[in-house]
Amino acid sequence: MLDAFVQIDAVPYSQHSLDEVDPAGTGMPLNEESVAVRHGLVRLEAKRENYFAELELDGNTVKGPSARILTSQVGWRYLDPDDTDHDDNALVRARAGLMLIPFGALVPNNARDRYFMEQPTFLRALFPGDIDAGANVDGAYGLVRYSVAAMNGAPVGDAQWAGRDPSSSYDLMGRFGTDIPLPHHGRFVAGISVVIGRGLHPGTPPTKDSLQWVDENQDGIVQVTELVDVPGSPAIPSQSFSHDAIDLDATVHWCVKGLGHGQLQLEGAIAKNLDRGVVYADPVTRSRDVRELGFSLALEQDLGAFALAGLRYDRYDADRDAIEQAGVATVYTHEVFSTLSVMASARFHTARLIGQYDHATNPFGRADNGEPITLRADKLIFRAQVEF
Amino acid sequence: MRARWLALVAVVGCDPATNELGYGAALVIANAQFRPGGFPAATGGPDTVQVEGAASTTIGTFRARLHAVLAPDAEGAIIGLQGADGAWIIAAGQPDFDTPGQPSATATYGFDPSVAPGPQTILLAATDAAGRIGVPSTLEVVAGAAPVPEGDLVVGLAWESTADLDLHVIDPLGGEAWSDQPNTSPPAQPGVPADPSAYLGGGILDHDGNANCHLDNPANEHVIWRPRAGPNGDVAPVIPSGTYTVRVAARSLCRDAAAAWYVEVYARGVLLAAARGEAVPDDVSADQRAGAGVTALTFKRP
Repeated sequence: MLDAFVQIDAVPYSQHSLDEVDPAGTGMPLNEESVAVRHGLVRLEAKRENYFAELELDGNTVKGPSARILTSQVGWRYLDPDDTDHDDNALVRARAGLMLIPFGALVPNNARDRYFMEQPTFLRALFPGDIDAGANVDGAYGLVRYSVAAMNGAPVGDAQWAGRDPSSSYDLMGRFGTDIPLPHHGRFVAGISVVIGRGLHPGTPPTKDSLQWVDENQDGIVQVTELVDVPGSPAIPSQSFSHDAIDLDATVHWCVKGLGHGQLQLEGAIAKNLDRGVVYADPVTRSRDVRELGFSLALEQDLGAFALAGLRYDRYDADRDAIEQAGVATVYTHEVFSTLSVMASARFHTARLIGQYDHATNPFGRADNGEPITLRADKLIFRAQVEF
Repeated sequence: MRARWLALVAVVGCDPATNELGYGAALVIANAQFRPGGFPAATGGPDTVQVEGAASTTIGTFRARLHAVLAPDAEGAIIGLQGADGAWIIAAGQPDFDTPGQPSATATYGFDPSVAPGPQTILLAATDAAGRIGVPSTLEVVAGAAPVPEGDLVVGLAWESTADLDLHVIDPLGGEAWSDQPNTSPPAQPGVPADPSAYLGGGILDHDGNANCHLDNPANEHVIWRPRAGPNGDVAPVIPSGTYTVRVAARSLCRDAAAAWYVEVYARGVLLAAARGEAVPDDVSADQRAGAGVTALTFKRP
């Protein structure tokens, strides 16, 4: 089977946009007000008896024109003999390859099935890119849903390792949940997910002796007394560290006559040393564990056959133990990100036009009193997508 | 259209900080939050006990430091240049050893090249947890223009880019000064007696600008003939008569697609010749050696 999906984003307004290049030295433009191909997906699926294979390719222009393998997996499944019409309800499905990370409720969702533009911040932090390579066994038996997986632990969006597995250990994860039918076409879906694994703090190669100039009198002239001998150092080995998370998700689906399907979804996670996308959690450099906490609450409601509206709030504390100097005192602070998203969508067959306004807060700015304050980051996005 | 979006933001926004980088502001401070507009008026905030720093700094450089001691209830500081738009916010730091109980404020700053040379007044006001701003203290600093290197003969290359360009100057005797051989004087030959001070009479490259894409500010290189102190006294420059050739080589364009360059030649402070050009990707060569690059100009000395 072959299908395709194209998603075009237009950002007419972004407070975070600047006609500048990244001061961090990457040379990347900071302009966000542009039109981009967010996804151009082509998916190939093959099935024979109980075996299946899938290859999904993505072309996009988010960071310049690029093409990549999005997912690629092979597997085997055993369908319920009494319900062979529903592929999603296999009693057992075993697969391996590059796949959406089977953790929680939102991460394993394919981009073509989402209405809100981006994942909540805490999931972009814990599982950046949503995709990793590994092996997974999942299935459904009655009301029970289960999944266990061993993944590389290197999501494709990892800010440091970018999908390259840095350690020989695997991230072990599992989800145990339920899917309960409710009256009037309603459903209640809930689950608890756990992940444990190891991350890597990179070491450094040996260094040679060097000289450092400290311009003590600030005259711009090198004087012998201002030269400091910096001795070379032996190589510092890399260190691995443990990371883990536990996640709870619950979704209530309903059907309102005249309007259609609606759902209220809550998902939250508490994690340790697992931020790999927003504020990188490296307990070795910080000399302590980095504890994260995040959640999102989303409401979506069909407004007839051709429209849908949604509201989502998500909040993420990237370091619950962060401290900062405030005058003579050292105080606890919060590296909190939150986003209130308002979304409306029109749809016709497999085509959608979505508009979303994100009102975001973050800890990157500084107020007159020197304390962290939100740096402007609100954004208006329009997205057109067609599946065929 | 943008005004409409801004109006929408005004409804849902709540006084966030600007994300402007503050590039082009008269005063630039490292690792600080830019604050657009004029320097804020005092609103009853904490005092600044003391502020000190270098008496002068060169315009276009980014190395001067200032240090302040603030009143005990201060939690931040605002720093700006008197009469200029834009200021910078920093968080107060730990007290110094000799001023316990009084937070400090330390910053590295530089003046934008648009700043006129002369005396400048830096303002520093402490702020407290409620955002109240104290009466600003002042630091008088002389902003000096970058000096043109002195010498009997100076060949300069300047460019505004991240690129790693190299200046090559070839004297009439064939001696070539560039980053790998920074002297026009020929190196001593094995077995041939040589004056140990002779090399001081050649044209010598002052430094390798933007070497290995490590940014200088501003990016330039000079080959200079001038009297230099030797072990047996000053050595006069040896400036051979004849035609000199100035070449510009592109070792790497680093993060830029092209690099516009400017070459000028001064004899005792008098402009002899100048040329402009641009290094493009086709000019980049990993094979950097004597004679590399494109000829920018030639000039004659009697």
